[in-house]
Amino acid sequence: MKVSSAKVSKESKVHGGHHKNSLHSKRRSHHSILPLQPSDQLDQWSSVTVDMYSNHHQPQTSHTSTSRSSDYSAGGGNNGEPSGTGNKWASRLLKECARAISDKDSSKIHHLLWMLNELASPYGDCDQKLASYFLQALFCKATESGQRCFKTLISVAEKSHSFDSARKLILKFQEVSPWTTFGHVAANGAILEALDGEPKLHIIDISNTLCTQWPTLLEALATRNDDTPHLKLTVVVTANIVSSVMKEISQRMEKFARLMGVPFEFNVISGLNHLGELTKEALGVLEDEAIAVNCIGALRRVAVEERAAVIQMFRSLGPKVVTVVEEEADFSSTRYEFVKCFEECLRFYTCYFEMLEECFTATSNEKLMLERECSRGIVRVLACDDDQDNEGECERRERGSQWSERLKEAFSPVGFSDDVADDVKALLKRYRSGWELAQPHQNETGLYLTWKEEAVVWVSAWKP
Amino acid sequence: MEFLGLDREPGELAAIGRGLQLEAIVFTLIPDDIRALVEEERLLSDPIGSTLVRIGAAPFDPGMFPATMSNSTSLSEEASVSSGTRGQAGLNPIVSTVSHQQLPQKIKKKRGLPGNPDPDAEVIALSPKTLLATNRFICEICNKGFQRDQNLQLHRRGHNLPWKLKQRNSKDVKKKAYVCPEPTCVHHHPSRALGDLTGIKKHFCRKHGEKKWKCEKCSKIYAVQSDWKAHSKTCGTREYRCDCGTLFSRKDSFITHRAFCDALAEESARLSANQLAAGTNPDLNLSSVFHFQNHISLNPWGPSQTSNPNPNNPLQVKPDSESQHFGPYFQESPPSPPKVLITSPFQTVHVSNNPPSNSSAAMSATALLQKATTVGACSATQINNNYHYSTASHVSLSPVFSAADLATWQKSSDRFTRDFLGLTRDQHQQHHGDENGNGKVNFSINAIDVLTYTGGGVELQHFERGQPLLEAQGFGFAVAEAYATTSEAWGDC
Repeated sequence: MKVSSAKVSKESKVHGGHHKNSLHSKRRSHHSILPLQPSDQLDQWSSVTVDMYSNHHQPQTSHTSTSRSSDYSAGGGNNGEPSGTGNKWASRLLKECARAISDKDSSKIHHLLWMLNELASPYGDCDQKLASYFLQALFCKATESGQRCFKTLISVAEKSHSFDSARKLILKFQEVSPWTTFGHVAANGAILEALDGEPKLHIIDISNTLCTQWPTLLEALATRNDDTPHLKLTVVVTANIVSSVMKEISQRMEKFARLMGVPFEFNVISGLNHLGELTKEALGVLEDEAIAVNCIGALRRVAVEERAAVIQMFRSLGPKVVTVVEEEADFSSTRYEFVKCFEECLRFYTCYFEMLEECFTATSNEKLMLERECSRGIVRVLACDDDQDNEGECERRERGSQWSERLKEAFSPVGFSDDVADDVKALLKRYRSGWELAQPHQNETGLYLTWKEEAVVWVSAWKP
Repeated sequence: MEFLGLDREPGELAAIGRGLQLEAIVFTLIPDDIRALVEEERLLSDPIGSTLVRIGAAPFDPGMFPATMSNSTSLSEEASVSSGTRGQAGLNPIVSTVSHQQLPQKIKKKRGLPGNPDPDAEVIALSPKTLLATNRFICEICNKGFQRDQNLQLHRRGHNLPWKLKQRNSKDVKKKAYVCPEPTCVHHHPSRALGDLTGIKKHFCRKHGEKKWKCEKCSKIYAVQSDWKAHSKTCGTREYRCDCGTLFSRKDSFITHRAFCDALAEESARLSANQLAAGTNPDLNLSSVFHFQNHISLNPWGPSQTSNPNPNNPLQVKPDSESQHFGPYFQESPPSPPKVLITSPFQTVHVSNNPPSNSSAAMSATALLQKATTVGACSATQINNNYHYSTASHVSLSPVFSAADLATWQKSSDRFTRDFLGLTRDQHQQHHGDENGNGKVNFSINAIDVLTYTGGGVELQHFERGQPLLEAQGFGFAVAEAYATTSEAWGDC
């Protein structure tokens, strides 16, 4: 432990230096004896952290701190081992930090944030990325700058957005992972079945999928029967980022529908702050149309208090079928308990990041952009107060079972037919292994997409 | 030459080969309708073979009717009547032309529309049960089922039972035409009867039957087993090629790609041009549209933005109000085309002679601006005063905040005052109004701003130089440090 005590003095100097307005020294070059593996640094520093705390602040908790240190070193493996042993350091540190924030333990917060900052990188491995993005959120939470940070992130993203980049991103994602296509295929199947035989279809698409769900539906409409129905598609765009590219999308969709030979009409509604404000007239719903409401990742963007009203609004449109696709995570029931919410958030995004890591190539630009999209969501959930004007960017996900409870107020569930289930299974076969279709438990409805046996996406269909 | 699954006695074959009259069919104790059914089945199950027997042509080759590879979900009954290479007796049976006393000439019968039977043909209405029935002939010994009596008879030989192969009496032979029992079907009416028993059976299955056969790979379903088999052979082996050149093995990703592919716009323009030329689109008076020679210059953004207008594909700019956005950046198309263009589907033609990442005429000014900044990241910051960011989606920066870069951290203090919030220094100062005379900003507010993460730092941040270092107190660590490297990289722009 000699080494670590030597470091204690160095660390305290540096750490003290933080408080003295001096610049950071070149920490890493001072510690050249350390290999530059985050896990090793972690082990060293975490044990240091523990020592410091036990020395300075909490002598009575020295027992727990030593156990903590043993946790750290045990979990992290032996010092000096390569990074393979450093699994999940991010999760531990992040959770510790979240707890510290919740406890308002400011020196601990400082230290953990500092450590995370050292180890985090948006370009590193999964742990480093998670550390980076969650650090951002934690920092915002601690400094109460979440709203501002979020707005910055949004505006930055908007400026680098274009039709080409969005198209490339979403198509590439759909090519390597069924995360989104799962919902599309199931929803399309349910819609086709529910609207079978209707001459005039009106699909209200509340999503940010850039209409990537609809070409296959158009093709199915064109080839399924001799008589092709007329399709009117009204897209309600909830994210500001997407609305700028919708014009291009609309042209493409119209052209494609013409190619398919489907009589087609396309409308976009954007800039809507509150989904509940939609009305039949605003959507252009006509009496002789068969309505389908398609919500992909849209309900979670509604403020929690308004969700019931939005569902009632759907009901008022008189649809034949409502399809809902949401990601399986619960950020909403824990929204007043920071640590629990944080842990759930971490769990979900860890799964998502790991999925991205496996599905994309290591240097994929699309993966980077998707991760950055996550960073906005993370900041939004963890560091922003919901009562602030949210502009439809709430991101408080709920699990399928929770959505079902809400939807049951106005609708009754429709099961997916075997044909649709077969379609989905055939879809999953086309991707790499790890993806499965899971039927819900009893009293639950819908279908789940599982990644490595963890449910990630939920799709369901409802009728009035 | 052989009838389907049925062998012939050598003597018979010889007789057939000589084109002689077939011997009379001897009927055993068989109910009348089945007799007729079997009789016709025998004739028509291998109509080519049986007819060509008489005309001395080559035997029927099933391989010449390839399985349809279309993506339609059900093979129509027309598939059984392919465009005629060789004739089949389904429509105009040659039977009638054959007499047993002469060798008729080769008549290649062409298949026309299915369900246009010979007016002299006898119309037979079979029940759905009959049509769907398989294996109706059961061996009394072992209960094995056969589709045809001939097969059963041959099987009975194996049991040492008396057997007799029925043979057709060509005198009695008449053309038969079959109607579909389904009342709503177009082939229900005798005038649209199908002349082929197998054909009517398959038709009934496909159109009105239950689809029991499912392809595993793509879950397409079929009512007729042979359709399903044919599909399974080719499913998944087919590759889809988009006009842009990309190859897909999956149909769904092909379709989705196609819908958004830049090549689509070109094709649909050509398609519609053809339609116009053919006058199939009377509603749109757009003949003038395609004589546009609007070579809109996209070059404000420099050579990287080339989407060189191909003289064969006139570039159109949306003539309506939206094009006002393009004001300073585009030469507007001269006269506004007729109002009808606004509602026309052909408003914008995206010409992409280059890889799809290039711009299209229809791209908004904002998007084009961003494109420009991709290439000339540093120089483009002046283009639009409203932009505080130079955004680059593909620029690679020093990806890791390496230790070496920390050295520069201390260097130019101005690197620190990045405006993470995207506001100019001035606005920032306006907001906070804590500016001291020497330009140092009250740290307690601005430390927060400075230290605000904006994620990764790949987005270029237009930062002001010459600002003093903001002192990072309070939180004791400088997240900004992490951006030192990126600011370093971009500072040299």
